[in-house]
Amino acid sequence: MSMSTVISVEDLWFKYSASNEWVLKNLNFKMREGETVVIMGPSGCGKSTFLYTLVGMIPHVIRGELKGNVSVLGMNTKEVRPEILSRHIGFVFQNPELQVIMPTVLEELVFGLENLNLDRKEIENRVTEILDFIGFRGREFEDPHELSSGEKQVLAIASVLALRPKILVLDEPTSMLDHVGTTRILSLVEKLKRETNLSLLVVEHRIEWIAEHADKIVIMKDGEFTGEGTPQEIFNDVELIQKTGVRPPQVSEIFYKISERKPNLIRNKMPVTLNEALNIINKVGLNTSTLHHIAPVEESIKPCNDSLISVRDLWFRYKKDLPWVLKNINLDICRGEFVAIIGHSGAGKTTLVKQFNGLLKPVKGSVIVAGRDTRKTPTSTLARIVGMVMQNPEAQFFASTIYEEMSFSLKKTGLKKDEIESRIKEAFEIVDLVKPLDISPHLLSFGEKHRLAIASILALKPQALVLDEPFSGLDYKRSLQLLLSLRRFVESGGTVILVAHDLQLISEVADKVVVLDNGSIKRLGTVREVLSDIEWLRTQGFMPLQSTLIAREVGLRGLVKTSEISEALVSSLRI
Amino acid sequence: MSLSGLYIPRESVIHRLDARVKLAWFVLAFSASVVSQWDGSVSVFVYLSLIVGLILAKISVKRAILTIAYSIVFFLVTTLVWASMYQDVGIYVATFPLANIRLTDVGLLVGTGKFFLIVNPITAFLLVMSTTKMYDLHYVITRAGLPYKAGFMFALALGLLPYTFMEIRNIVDVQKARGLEVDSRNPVKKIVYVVPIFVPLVIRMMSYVWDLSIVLSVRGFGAYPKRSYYFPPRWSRKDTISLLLLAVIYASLIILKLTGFSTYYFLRGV
Repeated sequence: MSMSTVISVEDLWFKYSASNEWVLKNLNFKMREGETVVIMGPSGCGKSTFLYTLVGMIPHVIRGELKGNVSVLGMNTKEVRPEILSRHIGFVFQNPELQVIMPTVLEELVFGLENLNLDRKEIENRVTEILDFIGFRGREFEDPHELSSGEKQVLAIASVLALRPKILVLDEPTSMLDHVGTTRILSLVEKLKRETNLSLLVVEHRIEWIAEHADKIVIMKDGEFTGEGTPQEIFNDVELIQKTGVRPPQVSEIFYKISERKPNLIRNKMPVTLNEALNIINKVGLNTSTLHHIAPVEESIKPCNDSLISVRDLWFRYKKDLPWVLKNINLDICRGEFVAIIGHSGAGKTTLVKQFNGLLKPVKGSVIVAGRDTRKTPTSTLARIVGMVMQNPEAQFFASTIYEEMSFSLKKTGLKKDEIESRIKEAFEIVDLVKPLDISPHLLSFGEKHRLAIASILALKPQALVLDEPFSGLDYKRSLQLLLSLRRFVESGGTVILVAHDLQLISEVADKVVVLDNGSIKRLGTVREVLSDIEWLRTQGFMPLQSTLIAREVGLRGLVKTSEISEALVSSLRI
Repeated sequence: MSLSGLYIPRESVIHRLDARVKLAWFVLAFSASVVSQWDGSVSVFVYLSLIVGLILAKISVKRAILTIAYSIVFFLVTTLVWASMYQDVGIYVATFPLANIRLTDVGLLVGTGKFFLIVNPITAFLLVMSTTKMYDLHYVITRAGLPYKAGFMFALALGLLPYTFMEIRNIVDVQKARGLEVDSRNPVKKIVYVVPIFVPLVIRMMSYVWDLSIVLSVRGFGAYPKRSYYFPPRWSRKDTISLLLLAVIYASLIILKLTGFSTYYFLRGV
């Protein structure tokens, strides 16, 4: 092993005990000191399992069959336990809620250092250093559980950094965060890259960020590494991107489509950042008269003639002595509409959607669902009109087979066996799930569990479906497929209400966007209106889509989808 | 997730006491309850002392009263079972109509004594856990010579309690959103809907414990046989005085009881 290699993986195979399938297949990997490597791949491809082998969780805590070698800073992970390795390789995972465990920020930072049996002076030095680094000086005695999700994740990273590892492994650190939290974490990672010599191994889906900051990208699919290279090399390989289903940066996606129609435009260098894309456009030149014709007409929300959910002067708080969570909400959700609700953590999104099926009832004002006042209608009745799928599908499965899981609620409605089977079939078709009905729902992959959760609600034939941040841990391609299949439900007169942070997903499927802030509706508009208002989004702490940035730069303000932007550019580029 | 357990942060004299004083308080209250287990008229004072403790700790007395309210059935059963064994001893007070049990003063004293034998340690436990940081308890357990992993296991188990209740609420919401009347007051439905709550709960809790084990591992927990403490509790004069005061109060109760004192007989002038 050369001096600068910090991780060396040779011929690595792994399968979990009680499973016949290899999750990791013949992996070979090297990482150098100070390098930032990003691992990408669809959900369930083995990324997290690979990371567990690096931090020693496999084979010491997670049992299974391991073949090959993993060496971290010269230590064989088979021989060194994870708690000893933690001094050398830090590990932070998705959910910040689970990673802050102590009652104050200071105790959180100190916990790991005490475990290393360090003396008081040394602990004090390290804590002071890390507090300054993350900008938490003066907040030592705050309760971490009162911090925002992003701040919790910063604290989780800091608690690991306090152990002064040489390598930091981050497993989808932003996937459960809002835009403000994501920006905070990515800035911290950038700072680590800039100011320290730490080697960073990150599993991340924020492609635009990756394209700018990664030294190397490794693509993983079905337990194998299928591609490795710089962002330029990876995103120039259109075949690899299509084969693995990895989401490219939006600018690359636009230029893939352009190059299909104008193959001479891009020869060897596909743009992966906004600047690179603009350079190409400027070099080629645009026909502004054509652009003028393409620029979208200003549009606004159409009046709702057939309202399914009508919210009037809604005020809500959980207890009398607590502050209002929803303040004077007025909103109409029409039949046959796909509505996205966005907002930062704590804005009141979940509290609002729980009003739609009566899980929560208004303290003041009213919510009328299909003509019924939610205050006077039982939740069990409303649940058949407005179905709701929440974040974690594991919180609902209880039966021993998929059939029992699906049919439990249906039987309660008094349906006969034939009708139950037909509804299950129909719901499976919508969510594109093909699985035997006699297996346990717990044997499904994470993505399949999500689809089953949605199917179990769709089988009840609700008039509206609410999805409350249903895609944490699910890759973009899978999420988009699922949402596009739900468009069919919308086109047949159903209503979908999606609570999500991913603006790109929203841009592809939604008709209308509701922006919640601190319990009030800050903005309500069409997808185009809201998502193309870059300055406004930025002032509200949202990260605008790269597609809207390029559209604005070339004078196509108002266009949001990559497909429409590439179409516009094809007809306007002077080539 | 927090490993704060049942700790309720407050600025109070009880919170400021050293964890060792509060553990001693628990032991003293428990001992006094054991000694006075045959006489509810004495063990009630142990209970009242703990209520005073909760008030001084600025913790809602509702908690203690709720403990009693929830255990009202237990109170009745305990009292009646013990009273039924002493039907022929002591002065007749009344007859319990349903079971036709002859209640005597001795039977009631024993029944209430046995009731407080259970309730007092629970209240004392709540008092200690609500006012003592897990960190301090952990420190005390380690100083007592037990491995620090053992102390942490205790903290972990308590820390999971509030999380379990939160998760039950989430699961109930998820199942209600599927049209299941899991919060129905109908006792038959309550039984039917235990499974849709219990099974996901077990799975979720296993998943939490798993994630927690990762968090602990990556923070070096268990890396070395010993760990240091950045905030070791410091024993003060107030702790010494409090410990002496508690020892005097409970020792007096114990001695009085051992010498045959009973508040009931004292008031009756016997």
